[in-house]
Amino acid sequence: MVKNRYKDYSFEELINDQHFIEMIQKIETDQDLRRFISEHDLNEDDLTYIYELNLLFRQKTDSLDKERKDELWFKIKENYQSDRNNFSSFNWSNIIKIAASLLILIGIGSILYIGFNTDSDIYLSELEQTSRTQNAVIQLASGELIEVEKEESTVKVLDSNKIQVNDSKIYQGASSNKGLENELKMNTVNVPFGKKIMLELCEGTKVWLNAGTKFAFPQEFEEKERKVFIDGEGYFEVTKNKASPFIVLSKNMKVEVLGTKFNIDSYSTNNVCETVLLEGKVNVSSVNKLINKKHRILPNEKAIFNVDEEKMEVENEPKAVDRIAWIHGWYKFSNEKIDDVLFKIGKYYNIKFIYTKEVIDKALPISGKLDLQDSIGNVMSTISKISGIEYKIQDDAILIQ
Amino acid sequence: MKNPSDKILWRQFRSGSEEALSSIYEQYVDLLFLYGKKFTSDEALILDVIQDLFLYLLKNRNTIGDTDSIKFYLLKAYRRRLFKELNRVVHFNELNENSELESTTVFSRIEEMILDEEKSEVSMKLKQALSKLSTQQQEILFYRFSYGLDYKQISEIMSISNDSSRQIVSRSVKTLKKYLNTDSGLIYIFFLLLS
Repeated sequence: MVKNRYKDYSFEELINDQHFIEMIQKIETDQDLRRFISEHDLNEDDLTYIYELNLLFRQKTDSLDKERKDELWFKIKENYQSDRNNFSSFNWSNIIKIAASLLILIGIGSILYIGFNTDSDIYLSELEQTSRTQNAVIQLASGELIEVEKEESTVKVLDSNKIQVNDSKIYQGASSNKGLENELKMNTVNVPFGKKIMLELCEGTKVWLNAGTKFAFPQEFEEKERKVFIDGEGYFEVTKNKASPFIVLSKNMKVEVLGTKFNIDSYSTNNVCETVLLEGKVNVSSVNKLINKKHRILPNEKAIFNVDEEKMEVENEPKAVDRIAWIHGWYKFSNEKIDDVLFKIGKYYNIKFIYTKEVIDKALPISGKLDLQDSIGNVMSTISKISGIEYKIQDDAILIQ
Repeated sequence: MKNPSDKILWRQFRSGSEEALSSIYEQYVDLLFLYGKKFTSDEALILDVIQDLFLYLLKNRNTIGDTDSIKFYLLKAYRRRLFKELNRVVHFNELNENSELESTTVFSRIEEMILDEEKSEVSMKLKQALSKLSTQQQEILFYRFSYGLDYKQISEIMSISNDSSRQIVSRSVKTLKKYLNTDSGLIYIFFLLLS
């Protein structure tokens, strides 16, 4: 490059010279600037200008601090992940296959098959859409959508196509004569984060569904068994019917009951699924057909299934009653790891938590009781006192330190 | 301003490398933030738009096109999104095809840059000179000198023709010259605009 190349350039010529412009971009410090000026032998009379301007443009008073920068990146990744999870985690096609094989085994008289659209992607995308709503949404098999507005609602199924919400409104779905005669039509309930629903089925079984839960049940139960599907947390009080066992399927677990009270905690995104029995008897098994073992549990016992290790364990749960405290608005926990507690709180209050692995590993397991009617500020203050972690509440997430 | 390593980095990001996108984020997030501040002081909004932009990039990496200037790509995309948000906030009722309307809303932060130096005569002169320019002119000069964009890129961002952007720059220069009464002083405006 020729030195002093720009010496006699007019201003116009300089600004139209792309190379010159690009060189300017590389100037970072005062030193760079001075070197640049001397190298190109630019006019020195206006050194005053240079000095003043240096001071001016080196100030970056409103730059982005590292904390906000990192936080923003975290949010970006999180949002991307949760979008993908919403779509891919709830895989109905497995459940359909398993349900179908069960039906064959049981050998029912009339041949029933689950009449989901065989293109399960369509079903998945419908579920994905409903999970964007603020309120709980029930979709009848005939297609109508019912939005349930209150934070805690009671829904009663009056008969195969009639639903009553909060003892007042009654919704009637259209009955359709088309479709195959023996199609099993499903109603679905989608409870978003921060909400809760109590559902009473036709035959009297009561199901409490916790925040962030999806639940599906047939319009009409089959004779030989009553099968429902859940992704999330639910407490069941099942009416006795020896001729028709009640079966709850989730992504990873299957629970068979005759008549009893139990709590299932089986969020598809969670690694651990739990079934806690309060009354009666249940059989808990893995949905994976290769793992054949069925575990029978008794009252005040719980079956814990570890999804990754594909292991089921039965343990005592003397505080079984505490596990269903959520239906009354309490969250009781004893000796639980802090990230499990935060997971639950995140669901109940519809809040995201941001934390690093180190912070969580350092924290000890905690026990306590939280009033779910309390504000998130009070809840976090209690958690902080119990566990020693610090937190900062931001616009739509809480940072744990 | 074309950069061969940009092309590679962008390709890596598009084929799924999170590291590539993370590197792009590190390199350009400050720039985007400061750029946003030239249009509005609403920091939350500025950050929101950055978040939306990167989310969009993540979700659509398979369908996004190639580029050999990541800076330019991001600036253009960011400006479009930011304006959409700002216009929404300001409730513009009439869609005006005139590109003048776009930048008149907003590009006015040059004043702020000189705030502290009011005492200095030089700065006063510069401040006055720049204020003689329309906000559109200021914005275009900014792209030329602070970001080193070429005329083709400038015209894309501003939605004007290549000729228009050249003309505007030369007209701005004439105005500044007239006002400062000196040819050489103008060089230092480069450096002012570099921030």
